[in-house]
Amino acid sequence: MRDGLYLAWSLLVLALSYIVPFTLLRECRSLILYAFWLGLTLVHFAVTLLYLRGAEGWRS
Amino acid sequence: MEELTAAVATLAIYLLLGTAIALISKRVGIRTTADYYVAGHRLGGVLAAISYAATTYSAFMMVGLVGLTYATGVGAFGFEITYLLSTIFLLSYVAPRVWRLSKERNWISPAEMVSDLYGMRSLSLLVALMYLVALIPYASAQLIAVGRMVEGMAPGLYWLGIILGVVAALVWTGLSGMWSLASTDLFQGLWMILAAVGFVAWLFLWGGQDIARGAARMAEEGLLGMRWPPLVFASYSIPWAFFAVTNPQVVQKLYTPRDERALRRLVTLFTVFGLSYTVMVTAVGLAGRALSEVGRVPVVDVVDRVTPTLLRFAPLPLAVFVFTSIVAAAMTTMDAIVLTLSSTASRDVYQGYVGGDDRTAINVGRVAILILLAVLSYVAYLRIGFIVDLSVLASALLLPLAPVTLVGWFYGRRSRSMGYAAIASLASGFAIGLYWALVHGARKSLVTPILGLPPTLLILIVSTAVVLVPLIRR
Repeated sequence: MRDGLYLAWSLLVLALSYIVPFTLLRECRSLILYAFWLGLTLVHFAVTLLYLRGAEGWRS
Repeated sequence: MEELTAAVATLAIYLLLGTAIALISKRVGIRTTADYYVAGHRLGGVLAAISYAATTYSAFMMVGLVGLTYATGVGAFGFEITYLLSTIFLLSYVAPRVWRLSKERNWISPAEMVSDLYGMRSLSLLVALMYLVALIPYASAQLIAVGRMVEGMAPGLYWLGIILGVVAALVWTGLSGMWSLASTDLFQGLWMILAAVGFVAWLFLWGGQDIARGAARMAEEGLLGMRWPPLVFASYSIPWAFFAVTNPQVVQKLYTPRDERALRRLVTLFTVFGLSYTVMVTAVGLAGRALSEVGRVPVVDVVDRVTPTLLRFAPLPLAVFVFTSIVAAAMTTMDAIVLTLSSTASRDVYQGYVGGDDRTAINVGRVAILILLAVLSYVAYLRIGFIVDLSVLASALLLPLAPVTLVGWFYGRRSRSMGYAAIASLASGFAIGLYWALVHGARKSLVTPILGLPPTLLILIVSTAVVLVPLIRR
């Protein structure tokens, strides 16, 4: 369950990293696109840290 | 003259420090091929993480990516960040499984891993051949970068850069394999990060308000939006997204941590390193472009020359420090590739087919290192292609390994037909990539669509479909 959720979340993040820049932020004139990718990575990293704490394969 | 003295002094300090560290690491004691190639599965988390990061982030970052960001704007940041997003996921999701299997089955070379996953020894030879074809240009590009950096600091001495790079690689990898490699990677990784911090801090202080004024002009030209065509973005980023699975020099690093705690630290520290380095490198590219827009620095037409142009304005100690960090980035990547290719020669070819003992196998590996470095220096001497193209092309050629490796990790050894499907998958994907590169050249092959699709996406689809056939039929 936990692994499945993390898999789904990661695929969603990757999809967003491709789709949003070519749709919503294609013509942006400030650093919003840069901030979007940076923010997405930070959120993904935070979620990953949570996942690493309790995932099946990571319990010694 | 002052510049030459500073450059030589910094380079000498760098080489002496690296050699001293490599010599100290020799104390560990090497008895088996596992000791030599994967540090006996005994690396601590910090060492494993920085070594992984330093191997991943090559000269492409401070030379190629700075130039790409300068030329194409924020889109270049996205190209690199998709790699990081995907790698965070892949490492978190599959690293424990790979690490555990590597200990259980005593994997040392990634080619050996693929053949073991499918229970088919001939697969290791095919994979080894793919590594050779794809990674020799990539590793040569690193040596070219070393030569260019030395030439940039001391004009006319490109050849000296090649010789220094080869000798350092020989000592730093040959001496005690993964132990000396990881130890020197740690020192070089820290050098890379410190240089990037210094470079970006100086650039923003020096550029001041001009960067903001230049950024406004960049916004008008669309450089803060997405200027990359979707086909180019997809074609360049897809191979990078699977880099952690396809490139043996980083796959092998997953075998090295001593326990799960160290492995977890590898994932988290690598992410921190990777994100910080990517942000700093792309900030340099964007700030450099902004300064060109307002005339503070000249306009640069060739992407690989952006960093050297900016460093002409930097204080001399900083400039040589950054130049040396690029040498370090190139060296860490090249060393790891040479070691992983050597492990293939030693484990898959020598021990796999001749069956010699570990001591002889290590010596065979050392001879392989020598031969590989001779080949790399010859290719570097010829100066083939651009760094960016060669780097991305290598990952594109290795892309068929992504579905084969992932399927093997999760469903391997179920039937003989899976092994044949893996061979067909690798052969078909690799053939498409190689054919397209030969027909269109390294640069154009990545952006010339096949059947309306990005070439790398087609390679991925074909090789995935082929390797999945036996699973679907069951």
